[in-house]
Amino acid sequence: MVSLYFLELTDVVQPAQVGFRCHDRELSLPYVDGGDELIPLLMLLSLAFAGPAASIMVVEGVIYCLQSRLKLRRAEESINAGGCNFNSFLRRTVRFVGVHVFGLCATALVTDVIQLSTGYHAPFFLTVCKPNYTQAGVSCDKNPYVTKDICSGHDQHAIMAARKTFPSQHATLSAFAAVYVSMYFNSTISDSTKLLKPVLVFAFAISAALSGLTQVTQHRSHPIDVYVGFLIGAFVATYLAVHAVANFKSSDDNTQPPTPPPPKEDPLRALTERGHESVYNKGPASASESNDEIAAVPPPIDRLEGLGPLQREKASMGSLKRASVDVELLAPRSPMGKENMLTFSHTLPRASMSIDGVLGANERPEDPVQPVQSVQPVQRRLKAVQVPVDPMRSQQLVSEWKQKSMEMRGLSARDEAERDASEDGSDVGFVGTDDGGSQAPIYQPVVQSGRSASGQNPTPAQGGAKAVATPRPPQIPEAGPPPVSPKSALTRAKWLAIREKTSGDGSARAAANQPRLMQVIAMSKQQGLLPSSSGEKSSETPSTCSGASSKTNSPHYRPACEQQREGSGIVTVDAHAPHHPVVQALPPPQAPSLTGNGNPWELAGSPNGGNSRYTYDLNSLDRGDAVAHNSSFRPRRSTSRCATISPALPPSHSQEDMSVEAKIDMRRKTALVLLDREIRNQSDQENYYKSLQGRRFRD
Amino acid sequence: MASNNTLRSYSIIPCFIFVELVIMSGTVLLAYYMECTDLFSVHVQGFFCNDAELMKPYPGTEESSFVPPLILYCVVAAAPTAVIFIGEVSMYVMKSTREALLAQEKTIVTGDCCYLNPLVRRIVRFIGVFAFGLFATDIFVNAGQVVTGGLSPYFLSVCKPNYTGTECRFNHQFIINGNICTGSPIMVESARHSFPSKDASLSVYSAVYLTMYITSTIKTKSSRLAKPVLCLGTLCSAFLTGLNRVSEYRNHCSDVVAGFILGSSIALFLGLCVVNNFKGVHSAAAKQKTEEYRGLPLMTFPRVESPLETLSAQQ
Repeated sequence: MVSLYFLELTDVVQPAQVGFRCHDRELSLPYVDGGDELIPLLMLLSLAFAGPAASIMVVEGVIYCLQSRLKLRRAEESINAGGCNFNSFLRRTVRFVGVHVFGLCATALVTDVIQLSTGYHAPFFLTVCKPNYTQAGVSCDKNPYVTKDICSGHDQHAIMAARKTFPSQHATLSAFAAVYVSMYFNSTISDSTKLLKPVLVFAFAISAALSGLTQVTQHRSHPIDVYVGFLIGAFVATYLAVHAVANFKSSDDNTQPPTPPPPKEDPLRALTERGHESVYNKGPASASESNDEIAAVPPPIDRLEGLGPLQREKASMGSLKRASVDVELLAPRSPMGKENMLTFSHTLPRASMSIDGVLGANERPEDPVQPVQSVQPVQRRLKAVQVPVDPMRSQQLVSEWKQKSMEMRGLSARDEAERDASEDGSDVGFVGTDDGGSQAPIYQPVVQSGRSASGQNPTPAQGGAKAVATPRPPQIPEAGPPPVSPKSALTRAKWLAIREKTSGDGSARAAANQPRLMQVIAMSKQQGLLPSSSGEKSSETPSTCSGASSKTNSPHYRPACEQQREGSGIVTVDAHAPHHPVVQALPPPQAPSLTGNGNPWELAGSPNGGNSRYTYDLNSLDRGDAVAHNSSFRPRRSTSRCATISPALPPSHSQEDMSVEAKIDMRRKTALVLLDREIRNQSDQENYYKSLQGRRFRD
Repeated sequence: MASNNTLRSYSIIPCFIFVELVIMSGTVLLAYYMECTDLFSVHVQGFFCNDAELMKPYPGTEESSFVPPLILYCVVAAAPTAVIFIGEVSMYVMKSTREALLAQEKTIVTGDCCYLNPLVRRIVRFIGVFAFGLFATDIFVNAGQVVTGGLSPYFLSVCKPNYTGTECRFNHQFIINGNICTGSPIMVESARHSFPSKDASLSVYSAVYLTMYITSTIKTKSSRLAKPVLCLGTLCSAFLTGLNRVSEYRNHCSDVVAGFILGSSIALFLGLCVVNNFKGVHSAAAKQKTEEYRGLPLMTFPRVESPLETLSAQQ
């Protein structure tokens, strides 16, 4: 603002001196005095401010009045700041108008800077300058290009104005206002009236165009100035509208249709393909390549999520780095192993089974209601498997995986087994999605849990207690204990990073558009909608933390992280992997209890909080729902926090995260109850996610 | 199916009458005033007496042009209307497309008697938006012409100023008032409407709108070349219409380019933001997203030969 004032109203900064040609026709057009202008600058400024601001206020007011009746969008929650209550109308209006004012100032500033630095002459320059061609040293006959200041005109103000023309101020300001308010209309006014939107947009556009063109007709600037001005203004407006206010979506917008994401098969499948083909069989270089390629993928997803890309990218980069760091610190008990397992557990049936087992065991002693609940999911699952299958395929898959695992000699025993399991599980899951479940009865539970796991759906946890008992697929034992080579470890870490990120994304998407995508497993999944996303998020958190711990390398901190990881539930088995080298083997029954005892925080969180909450939620669904969608995204925030602060993480922070995780744990139980609220949850989640990001951005 | 696909709405008719029709009539009225009356007087633009840019020969009246305005306007208005009408009706009649159509659009029941089936809704929507855009383009062009008062290339040959008079003697003398013209005032007046070329903007508008309609609606499996030929043909003729204006000295090159930009931007805005690229209201969001998701990951990843794929192909 201050700099704008200096540039606009004072002569502190002189425009650059540019020469001109003698008797240039282009520059000797008549001068229209400032007072005679059709649209003086002051009027333009006030119009460009008042028009969009007024229309934004009116539209927001109408929306606010209608929202309660039409349920068009749910109000952004009011913010109570020290006695002041900001309702959604106030918040939105202030936000949009504030950005508009800021944009106007920024546009004016940019225009002024360009004007001063170029210093091109206005068409009326020679008229007001009245150059004295007879001055010494200037001869128009020899050199018609005059670079000296030979003005003899008396109106210094006009001469100064004639030197600042290049992007026309009128054009930039009006184009900014018009484009900004047009984008506002475009995203706010619904489609039900077809002509209202274009009329408003065209009205603003036409007035902006005319106010720019009057500059040309009054010889105050060249046509090129006006066109460039239009471009600059439109660019600034577009940028601000898209990135500063997220295209005018409210920060938790309910009208946003439940973004039906993606058949999760595609990303995951592609990933697995990449997984074996390129990452496994080639060197680390190709792994990094593929990493880059995959890193390029998320934007489409993120586009939906509004402000996502930056955060996402950052996080992914962070995890990448962390992975490599982990490799350097590679040790049998290094956090990397856990991180890997974490990653795998997304797509890995057996791990999830065991997790389920752990969870179930965990809860059973505390929760008498649990068994009753757990029956349902299982039934549902069994129902869901009834799809045509082909035995050939599964067999071939198995053999293929055997081959793969044989090839993968460079990995540590645990890792190998782990990966084997994960590949196996995910692939079986994929087969199932493509052709239906695999046929062998042994595989049925595997497929099921694989599905749930690949959705990172911890909900079947309750039912999963049964899954523990399922016979394991035969190919597991073949994982031998090969020596650890750093190279392969590096590869693997990278692959992990990719996998982690993409599976996170994929699962997020998968979680969102379940209804469409998985008819096959709809029943088994429905219940898990909510936690699936929470699972994803929470699983991210521990991995981040483990990275952080490996960086800080402080023994004091690491335990916290591990415990935290355990607290996140899904990961439980992985966290214990070091204690039980054979993770794939059915998790020993005492493992869960060990888990529970292992971290006192977790214990404190789940037994009292979880149980009471659970029963409570059974009674009042609504509240549980609300709380659930609140808490389900908290871990995400914590993840980012973790990522950003990781170099110097205070231990207290980890505690904070811990509590969050504990909450998730409780939430997961509530989710079971919310079978029929799938869609609402979905949108809630998204909105909350959006709002989170929006808030972060604002901060 | 029937119960699934019908929607009871009492607000659509009043909404249509009180909002859409009012806006539409306002637009038409404004266009009429700008086009046919002298309500808005053109801005009198100054000029240099011996400006070579404005001294092109007078090409004759508009009617003697290679593309007479009357024919041009008729074609511009009628062709997309006819194509949209035929396209919608044939989509409705043909069995394969009809189901997709019905899935997109719902039949609306207002009151007890009135059924607005998808056919009527789509036709009214697309053609209505097209007509609105046509008038809006006209308003834009007229406003630009009136405000700028750009001079045609043949202005000086119509104006016929007295070159020997005091005002025109100097090379760099800028003439502000137009009353040194000795030619017929009507022709001088018409020579002042040049800046966005109306023919260029109207033809490009309708061509782009038609192209978007054809591209997004007509799915022909059998002939792959019909669609591109149709689209490129319309676009090409529109561009040629604009260029013809330049070659006949009726407009400057910049006028025609401005007209192109104006017309195509209006058409793009209407097509993308207002009618959702000619998709039905309900399917638009979902469909878009599906494409995004399903297409992207596999497309972006380099194709890796996968045993899974070959396996599924065999079976």
